[in-house]
Amino acid sequence: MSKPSGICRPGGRFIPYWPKLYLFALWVVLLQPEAAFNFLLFLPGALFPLQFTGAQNLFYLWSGWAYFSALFSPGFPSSLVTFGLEMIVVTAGFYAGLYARQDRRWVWIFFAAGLLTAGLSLVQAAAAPPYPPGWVSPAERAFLPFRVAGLWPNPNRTGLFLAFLFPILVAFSETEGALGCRVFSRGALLFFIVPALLFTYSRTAWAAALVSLVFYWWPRQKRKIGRLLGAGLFVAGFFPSVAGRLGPDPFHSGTMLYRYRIWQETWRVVQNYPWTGGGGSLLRNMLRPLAAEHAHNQWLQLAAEKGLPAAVIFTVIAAWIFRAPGCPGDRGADCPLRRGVQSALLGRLLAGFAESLWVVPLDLFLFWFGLAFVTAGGKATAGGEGRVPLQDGGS
Amino acid sequence: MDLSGKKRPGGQHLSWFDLVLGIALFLLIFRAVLQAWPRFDRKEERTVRLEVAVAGLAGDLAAQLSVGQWVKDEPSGEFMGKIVRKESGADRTDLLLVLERTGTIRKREGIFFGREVVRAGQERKFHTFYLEFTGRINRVVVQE
Repeated sequence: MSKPSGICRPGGRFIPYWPKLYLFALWVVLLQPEAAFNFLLFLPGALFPLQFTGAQNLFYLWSGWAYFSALFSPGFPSSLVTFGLEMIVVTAGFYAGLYARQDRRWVWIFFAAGLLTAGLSLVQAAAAPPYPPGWVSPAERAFLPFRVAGLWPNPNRTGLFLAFLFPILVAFSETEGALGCRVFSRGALLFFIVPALLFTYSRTAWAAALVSLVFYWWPRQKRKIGRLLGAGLFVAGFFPSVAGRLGPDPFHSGTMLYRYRIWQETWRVVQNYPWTGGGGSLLRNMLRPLAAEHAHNQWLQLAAEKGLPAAVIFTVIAAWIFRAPGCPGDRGADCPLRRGVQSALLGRLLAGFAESLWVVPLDLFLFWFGLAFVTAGGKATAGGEGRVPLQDGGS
Repeated sequence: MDLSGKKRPGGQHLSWFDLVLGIALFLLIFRAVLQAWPRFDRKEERTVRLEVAVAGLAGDLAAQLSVGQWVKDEPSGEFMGKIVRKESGADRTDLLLVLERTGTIRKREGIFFGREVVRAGQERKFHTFYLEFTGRINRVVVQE
């Protein structure tokens, strides 16, 4: 790794350590995604001289509204504690995403974490049954052999994480590194990450991965989209467990009916507190009789926790992601990777119709990481002062 | 500050910061993998007999159950064994069926028929080729 040079400013002694701490912190949060305080490790990055600036206005808009709703929600003052924890993760994600534009070694960490998750998933599949316990209902046992969970205890979250990684790793394997490196990354994707994603039997994750890949290849590589859809049909047709999991009508499955009931309860909270929201604890109390911890819909979750304006702001942020460069026509050096992250975020947004994405700190982090990465633009610097050389671990 | 005398193959000094982060990272990955690693129990295949009590089955339905028929679990479709013995009470509506098949014994989990855990006290819906009925597993016997 080349050492950053030409930095002479107060606190400069810290700067050589930051890139290493950054990569370490990525590992920590990927392995322990629920501990919000681990994300504090990223906060020194806000002091690092960054070459890129992202959509700061969205960051401030979201932070401002989150603060306002915490102040005026019925859960005050404990709502401020929740706000503080959320802001640690949001700030960490945002600055980590900006830094990721100039040090692309984060892709290797994601790749390694994906392989670790996939490897463990395959081991769990070999050990099944009954691993992990409790995720296959008795009614599903006739066709569903197991559901692997990888590093975390929840197959849906593992599936969504792999679905998020998928387009990023495809972009990485298509463009980065020497031929051997590309062959290795494609093999790892095909033989480890695809089976692991299948074995989670998470329908939301499958849909997210499929849509994000279609978006990634559209419209330049339609042949690959055709192959992808063909492979999907083949898997659904020849593996009864996959077809059984999809069911004849996924929109009228037991899971969907359960979600409708949760959404109705959540909507009652939104109706009671349309402007500031009722806060997370009130929503959890309302959903406790349904044995649910969150609303299973990102927009409803935000509206119930932080008010309807929060859902509107989130929609604006989502729209901003697709306004940003990285779309076809952008020929920058980072174009495929940005397009990959953009696609991963699209998959996340799609999953947001059936899952509450920001319940787990890592998912909140990944969203803001992706947003900052996609929207980041070069910072105008005077005479190159404060510039740090790009660190490219891929090529 | 470098650790004196420690050099990487390339000749660069290994800094204390790299060393601390490396050890911390190794331990973290090791701990996370250990936590998620599934238990591989020793498995044994043994012949298992189930005594299934069926109460209040109408006489003509009870008559359709006979020795030699296969019995499956209704929701999962798992084969639960062949009927090796059939005993009926005085009124001929209460039955005691003895089913036999080879099951997997996992030391720390229990007795598995395929993916189904079998324990005494379970009330299950069963079916044969001809008949559906509800029964309670009264006793589980693992043959030596």
